[in-house]
Amino acid sequence: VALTENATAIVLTGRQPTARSWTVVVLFVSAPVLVVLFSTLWRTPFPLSEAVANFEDVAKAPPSSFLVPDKSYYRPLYQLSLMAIWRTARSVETRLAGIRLLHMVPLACLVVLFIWHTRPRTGLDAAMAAIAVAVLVGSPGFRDNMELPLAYTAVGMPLALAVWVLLNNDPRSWHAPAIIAMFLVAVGFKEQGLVIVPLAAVAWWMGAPGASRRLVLTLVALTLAYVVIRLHWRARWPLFEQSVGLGFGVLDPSKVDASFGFPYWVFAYSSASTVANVLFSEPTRGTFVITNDIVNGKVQTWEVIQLASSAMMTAAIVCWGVSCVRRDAQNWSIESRTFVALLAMLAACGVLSFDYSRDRLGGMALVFYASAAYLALRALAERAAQLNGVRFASVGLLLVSLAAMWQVRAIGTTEQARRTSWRNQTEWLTDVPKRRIDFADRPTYLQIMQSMIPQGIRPGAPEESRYPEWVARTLLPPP
Amino acid sequence: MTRSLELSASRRRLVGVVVWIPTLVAALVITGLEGWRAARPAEFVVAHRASTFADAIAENDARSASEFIWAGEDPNAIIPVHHTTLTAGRVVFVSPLVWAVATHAPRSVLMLLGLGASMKRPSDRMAVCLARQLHDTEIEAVLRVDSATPLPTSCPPGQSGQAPLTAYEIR
Repeated sequence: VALTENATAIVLTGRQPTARSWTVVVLFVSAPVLVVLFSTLWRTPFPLSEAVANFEDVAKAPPSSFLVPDKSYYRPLYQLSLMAIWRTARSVETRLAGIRLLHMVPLACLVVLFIWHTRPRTGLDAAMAAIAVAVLVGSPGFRDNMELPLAYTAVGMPLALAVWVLLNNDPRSWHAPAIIAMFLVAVGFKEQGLVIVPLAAVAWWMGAPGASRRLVLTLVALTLAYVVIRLHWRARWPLFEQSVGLGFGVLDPSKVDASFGFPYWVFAYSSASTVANVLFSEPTRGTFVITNDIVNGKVQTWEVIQLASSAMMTAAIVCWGVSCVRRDAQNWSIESRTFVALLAMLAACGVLSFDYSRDRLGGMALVFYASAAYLALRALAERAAQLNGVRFASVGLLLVSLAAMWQVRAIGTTEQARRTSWRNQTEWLTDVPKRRIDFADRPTYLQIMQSMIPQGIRPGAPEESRYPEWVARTLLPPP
Repeated sequence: MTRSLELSASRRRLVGVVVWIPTLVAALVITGLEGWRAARPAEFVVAHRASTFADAIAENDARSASEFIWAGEDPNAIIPVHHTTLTAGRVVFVSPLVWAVATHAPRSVLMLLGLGASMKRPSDRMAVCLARQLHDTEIEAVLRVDSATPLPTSCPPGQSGQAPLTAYEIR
């Protein structure tokens, strides 16, 4: 235990001279996927369907309208950030570049901070860290948060990780104010930021050096104030805001309302769906797509990879996490804390997605899933080194399989980004006339749409690659 | 004890090396593919591409048709087309917009209008009548709403036995 603690401490504090070198190695081997991903995002046209309405809001409405929490969606800092960019930049190109950066910089920070946080000490650690990066990038919670310009959770994810880093470091005078500030920013971008409260509570309960009772009480007080403010301005919000995935199908909000007079089990289902999506990549948006294909004998390679890699990784995390908690008893290590933090984040993300399940809503928990994956894989590799013969070969094969499947998923994320770009451009090519009809009574909308047409139809936007069918179906579902 | 530690260390090294393989392969594959893509971008575009502008329009493949325009094709130029029933098998010269209407390709119609197809020629303004003649209410509605030019409200009756597109031919 002492040795493990020592090794973990070295890994986390980075005092070992080689830690920086291995961190650079992980950054270097992860760079190809990340460079392709971010260069694709940079060239992706904004979607016609989501972006224009958002920009219309920030172009027209007074700032105070975003501060009053009378709508079911309350994201004041996100909207004020968009507004600041939209109203201060002079040209449409500059505005769109600013909004793109608002989305991409947090995602890039997340990946870099994640790699820095792993601080691999040896080549073996670095290999596991590289797989963990693939876990982060290849998961639905990351993919779904790449959708321009919906940056809300993309901002919250690196903030949650930064809070966790500070909580597990020796306290400094600026840590608590910084954590509170990051909490407020995360909540200001989306209510999912509230998951930072259970994170801090877990850290405090498990003796993390940077977590204090005072800090937790402050965060709880701020949360209560947030809830009171939200309830005070509560208008007549619909019971279900968006379509709800249920079993193998999807129900419109009106149908859910009509079908379920007592909606609490639908809430529970949606919450569980978000949690399961992080752990097993299934269901997606509450719908069991892969299971449906298995039942109907139409299973495809990408589905096998998604399900198998997630199930195997989750099993590895659970085995490792339970053994850590049992081992540590009351003297909690960073490993136990990470495992319990993952459980808390899963529960919190589940609760906050009670109304409908979407892959992106599991994004905050995904950060901790990937962190736990790193520690679990490292422990599994150490365990493999103690085994003989067939057992050694089996665990080694398991690790290689996991690495291969998650790397395929990470590459799939780059293809997903290309597909989104292609879909967005097609929207601009074909849907503008219909929008002119549908939004004829909204001149600001029409004016913004018109100004964005050049970026929407610009030649050379990324599009899905031409791969042989078997390669394409290994990476992604059919379009 | 020492032998056991040595064995454990060598296994750890072996695991360390083997587990790197998929990660390095993935990094090399994506680097190689991107290099290839940069050198020969055409080899990476989506599997099917129509061979001519007219084919892309007729297949309602707006993206593919738009690439012809980006490559220099004029959305208002006259293109040669032929079709068993629409042109009675002979080659006729019509505008891309009229061809898109004739082949029931609404996405192509929308794309052409978005990328600069105009309705200055009488035959293009009469495309709305072609849509009506072919009972394509969706395209007729799109043309009426999106056109900056007034379109005819009444259409001449189509002549029975005549291939529909011959009336829109530009000579």
